[in-house]
Amino acid sequence: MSAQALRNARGAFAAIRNPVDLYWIVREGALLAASYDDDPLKSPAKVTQPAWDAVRHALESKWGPPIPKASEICRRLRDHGGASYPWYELLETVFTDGVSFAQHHAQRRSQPDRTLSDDRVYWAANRVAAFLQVRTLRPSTYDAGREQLLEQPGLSQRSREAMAKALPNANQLTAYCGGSWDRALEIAKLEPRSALSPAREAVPRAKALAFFFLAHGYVPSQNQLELFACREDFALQAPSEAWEETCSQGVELIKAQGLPEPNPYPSKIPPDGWEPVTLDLSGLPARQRRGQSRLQALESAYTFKLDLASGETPTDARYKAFALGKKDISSLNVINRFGGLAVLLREVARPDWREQATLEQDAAEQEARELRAAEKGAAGARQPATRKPRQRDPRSPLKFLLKLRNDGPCANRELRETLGVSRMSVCNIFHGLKERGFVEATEQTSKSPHQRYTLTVAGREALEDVPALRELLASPPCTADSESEAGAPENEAS
Amino acid sequence: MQGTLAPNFDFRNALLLVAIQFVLYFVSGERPSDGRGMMTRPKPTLTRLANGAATMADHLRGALRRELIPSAEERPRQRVSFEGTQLWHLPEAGRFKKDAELTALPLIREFRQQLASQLLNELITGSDDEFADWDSPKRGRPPLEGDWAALYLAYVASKCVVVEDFHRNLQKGKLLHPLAEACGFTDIPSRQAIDAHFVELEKHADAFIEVARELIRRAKREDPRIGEVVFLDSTRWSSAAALEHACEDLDACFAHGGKKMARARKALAPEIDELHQRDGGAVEPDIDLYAASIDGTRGPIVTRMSQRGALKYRSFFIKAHGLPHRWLSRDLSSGVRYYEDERVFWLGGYAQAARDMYTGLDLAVSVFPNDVCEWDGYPETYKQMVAALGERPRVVSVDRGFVNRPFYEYNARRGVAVVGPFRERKPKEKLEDRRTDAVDEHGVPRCAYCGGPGDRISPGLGPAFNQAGEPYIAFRCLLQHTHDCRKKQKILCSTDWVQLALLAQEAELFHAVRHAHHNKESGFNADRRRYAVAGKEGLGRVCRSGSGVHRLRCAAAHLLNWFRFSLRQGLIDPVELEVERNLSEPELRSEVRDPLTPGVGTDRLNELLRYRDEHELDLPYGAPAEHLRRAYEEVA
Repeated sequence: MSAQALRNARGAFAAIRNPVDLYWIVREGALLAASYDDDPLKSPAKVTQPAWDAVRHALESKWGPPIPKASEICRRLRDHGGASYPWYELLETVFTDGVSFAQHHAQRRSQPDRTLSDDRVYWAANRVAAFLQVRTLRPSTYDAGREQLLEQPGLSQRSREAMAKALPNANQLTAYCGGSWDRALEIAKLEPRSALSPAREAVPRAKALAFFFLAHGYVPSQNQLELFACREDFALQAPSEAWEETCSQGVELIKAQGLPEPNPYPSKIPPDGWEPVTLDLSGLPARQRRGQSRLQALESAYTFKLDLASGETPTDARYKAFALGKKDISSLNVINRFGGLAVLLREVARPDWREQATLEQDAAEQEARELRAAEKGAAGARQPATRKPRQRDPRSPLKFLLKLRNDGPCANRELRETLGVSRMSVCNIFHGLKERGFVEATEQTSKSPHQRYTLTVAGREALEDVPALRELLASPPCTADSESEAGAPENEAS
Repeated sequence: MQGTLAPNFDFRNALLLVAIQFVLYFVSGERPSDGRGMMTRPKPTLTRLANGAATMADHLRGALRRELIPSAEERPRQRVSFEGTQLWHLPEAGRFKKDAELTALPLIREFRQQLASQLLNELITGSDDEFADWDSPKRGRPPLEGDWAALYLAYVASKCVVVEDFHRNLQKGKLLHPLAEACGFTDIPSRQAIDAHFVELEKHADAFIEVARELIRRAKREDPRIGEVVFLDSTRWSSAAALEHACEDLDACFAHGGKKMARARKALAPEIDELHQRDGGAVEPDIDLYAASIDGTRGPIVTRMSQRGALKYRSFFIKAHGLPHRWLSRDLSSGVRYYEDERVFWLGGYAQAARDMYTGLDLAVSVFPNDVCEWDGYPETYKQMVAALGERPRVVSVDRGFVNRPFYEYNARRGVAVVGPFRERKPKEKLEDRRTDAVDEHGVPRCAYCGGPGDRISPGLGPAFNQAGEPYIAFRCLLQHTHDCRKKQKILCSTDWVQLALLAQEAELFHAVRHAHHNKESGFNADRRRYAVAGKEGLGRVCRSGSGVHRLRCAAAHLLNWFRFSLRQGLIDPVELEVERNLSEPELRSEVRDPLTPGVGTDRLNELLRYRDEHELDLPYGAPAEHLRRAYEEVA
C-alpha cells in the first residue's frame, strides 16, 4: 500500500478506511499512549491528541499505513451535520463497554428526523386535496395523490425533490398529529372523513326466493336458488337456517307484497293470478369475482399504457396511482401475479396480443372444462363398479315367519332388529310373504300410529313343514334392486 | 505600407494618408491604427495636472456610479449560465519559493532574452509604431546604454525599496553587480540617473501591465480555466511622506482644537488594518455619502521655499473641532483619511488586485489614493481584467467591504456573478429580515401565485437579459400549488441587486468560492515578501512618495509573477535557464466527487440547507400564500 496510491485528487493523503476501524484505532492508540505516560495510573480516556499522535505510527504494523492524526480522525468521524467528533467524547465512546461502533457511527451519520409543523401539514394536505379535487382525504388517498403529484409529467428533478420534501407521507403526517389522521385533517382545515361505508351486503336467501318466485312462479330448491343468483350475478347470503324456514320466510315476504301465495314446495305449478315479471337485478350487490384472467390483466396494462404521457416511464408507482379507484382495472397485485408490469407491457406491444390472449384463455377454459368432465366421468364410471348387487338372505322370510309365530304381531322396527336388515328390506320381505298369503298387516291407532305384521292361518300351516317352506320361499330369487324399487309402507314414522 | 511598392502605387494618396494621420496624432493624441492588430502603446493616465490639484487617480472618483450602465458592447446578449463553471485550483502555480533558479539575477537574464523584454522596451520607448522615429533628436550627452525597464524589474525582484541601497549594491564586487551587467549596462549608472529613469518609468507603468497581459492571454489560450473565478480585494499602502500641520490662521486653529490636532500622528499599520476592518464591518454604506465623507480633504498644491529651493506640497484640509485644519505633505498624489476618535491619519492608498482563483496570480492591479473608495477602483480593475482575459470573468468573489448595491449592479449588468458575504443594511439586521414576498433571504425568488420557492438553477432558468439590457432571473415555482405556478416567471435583478445576484446561493459553486476566498488573502503578503510592493511601514515601504511609484512597482511585480508562471508552466521556452516545470494536475474544488473529497463548499451549502429547513423556506409564505390559503378555505 504505497503512499502515492493513497493520495486523493487534491494530493492529500486520504486512505480509505472503514470508519469502524478508526474507532478501534483510536482505542488501541489511547491504550498505548496511556501506557507510555509518566503517570502510571493515566486513564486512556484522558489521553491528549498530541500524546495519541506521538504513538500513532506504532499502530501501522497492525492497521497499515498511514494512521491519520487524531484531529483528522475526529474530522472523518464527523456527524451528519459535518461537525467533527469531539476528542474526549470519542475516547469516552471507544472505552464504553457494549457500544457497537458500527451502530454508533451509523446513528451519528444518519439524517436526523425531520420535524414537521402545522404549516407543513396544512400545505401538504391541501396540495393533495386540491390536486385530487376532493375536500377530505384518507391516508391511502393522500398517499396515492402524493404519488401522482410526484409522478406527474413536466416536473424538473429539483421540483420533484422539493415537492417530495414539502409533502410528507401519510404516516409522517399521522405521526406528527399524535397518531390521528383526523387531527391532520383538522389542521389542514379539510372536511372530516366520512365513516367507512358498510360493505354492500349480499341478498338474503328469503328475498332471493321471492325474486325467484317473481320470475318463475314457484318456490325453488336450494340448488335452483343458487343457480338463479349465479345467472343474475348477485351475491347470495350463505345458508344460516333450515331450508324450510327460509321457504316460509320467503313465502311470508311474497304474501306481504300482495302477491299470490305460491304453492307449497316442491310444486312447480304457479298459483292463480301469478304473472311472470322481467326482473332487473343489476342494482343488487354483484357477486365477488374470485380471480382475474390474464386477458383482463393485459387489458389493464394496455389501458395504462395509453394513459401514459410521452416520455413517462411505466413504473409500479404510476400504475398503482392509475389503478386507484378504477373497478375495471386490475390491481397491481394481479399484474404482478401475471408476471409484472414490464412483462405485460412487452406483451401488449405485440400487434395481435388481444387475439392471442383470447385464444389462450379459450384454450385454458376448454382444458379446464375437459378436466372437470374427466373428473366427473371418472367418478361416474366408478360408481357401478363399486356397487355390487346385494344378495337377499334366503333365511330372512323364514325367520320373519318364525318371529311372527313365536312373538305374535310385530312392528317393522322389531323385525328389523331381529333380522338385522333395513326397514325397506323388512317391507320387501313382508310384501313377498303377503303375496303368498302367509302374513297380513294390521293398522294400529295408538299414540304413534304404525302397522303391525301378523301371521295368517296359511302361514301357520306352512310353518308345519319347514323344509318344504324353505324350498317354496327360495323358488323366486329376489335382488336388492327389486327391493329398492318397491315402495316403502305409507306413513311410516321417520 | 511595408515591403516593396506596387507598380501602380499612388504617392499622392499615400502622402495624403500620412498627413491626415499625422494631424490626427497631434490633435487628438491618439495614435493611428496600423491595421495590423499590433499592440498599441498605452497612453499615460496622467491627464490633467494643469493646476496641480489633479492626480492620476482622479478619474476613478465616483467611477462606479458613473460607469454603472455598460456600453452596448459590454452588455451580454444571452442567458448567463453557470452550469459549466467550476472552481479549479492549480497547485503550486504561484509558489516560486522552491525555484532557486528564479531568483532575481537568473530571472532578469532570462527575461532579457525573451520577446517580452523587447516588447516592454518597445512599448516604453514607443518604437512599436511608425511615429517613434519622428521625435526630434534630443540634445546633450548620449544616453547611457542599458535596459532601464529590466533594471527596474531587477530592482523590484531584489526587493530593494531604496534606490541608494540598490545603487550601492550594484557597484563592482557587490551582490547585485551582475544584475547591472545582465541589464546591458557596461558602466554602473549614477544614483541620480537611476532615480530619474525610475521616475520616468512611472509614466509607463501600463507598459509593464500590457506585457503581463500578453502573458496572461497566452496562458488563457492554453488553459481556459484561467480567469473564470476571480478574487477581488484591496490592500493598503502607506506613503513615506510626512504630514505637517500647517494652518495659516493660527488663532482660529488654536481656538478649534489646534493643540490636539498637532498631536495627531500617522497611524501604524495594525491600526490602519483595525480601522479598515471596522469600516468593513459597519452597515452597508450609501456609496455616494461615503465617498463624500472621505473626499474633500485634498487641497491645492502649494509651493514653499526651503533651503533646497521651491518645494511643492499637497495641502489637505482635515475638519476637526469645527474647523478645516490645513496639513501639508510632500506626497502630491496620495490621499489622507483622518480618524477623529483615534486622532490618527493614514496617508497612502490602495492596491486593488483581481486575483485568479485558479492560478493564484493577479489578473489586474490598480493603485489609487485612499480618498478614492475601494469600489470606485473596481471599474478600472474590471477593464484591465477584461483586457487581459479577452472576456469577462464569470464570478467575482469579494469581502464585506465591497458589498453594496451599486457594486452588485455594476457586475450584474455585465453578466458577472458576485459572491460576497451578508452585510447588514441597518444595525443589528438579521438575515431573515431580508425576507420579502418577492425573494427570500438566500436570494431564492418566490412564486407570485403561491409564495413557494422558485427554481432558478435547472436548465433554461436563471439569469438572463431582456431587450432593454436589464438583467433578470427566470425561475419556475418548485411546488406548483396552482396552475399558474407552472409558468416561467421573471424577476428583475433591480428588485434587489444584492439579494438577486446572478449566482444562486443554492449552488455549491457559490459556497466553494466563499470558502476559497479566504485562502487568496495571502497573495498580498506573498507579493510583499517577494517584491516589497504596497509596503505599509518600516523597511518594506518604498521611500519615494506618491501613488505613481506604487503603481509602477505593482505593475512590475505583476509582470514578474506572470513571467515566472509562464516559465514554470512551460508557456515560454526558457533560453538558458533550467526551470523545473510545475507538473501538478489541476484540482476541482467545487464539486462532490466521492465521500472523501467533497466539494469545499459542501459544508456551507449543507448549513444553508439546514437553515432553510429550520425556517421552512420550502413552504409558501407571504401575501400570495395567504391568498391561496383563503382560496383553499373558501372551497372547503
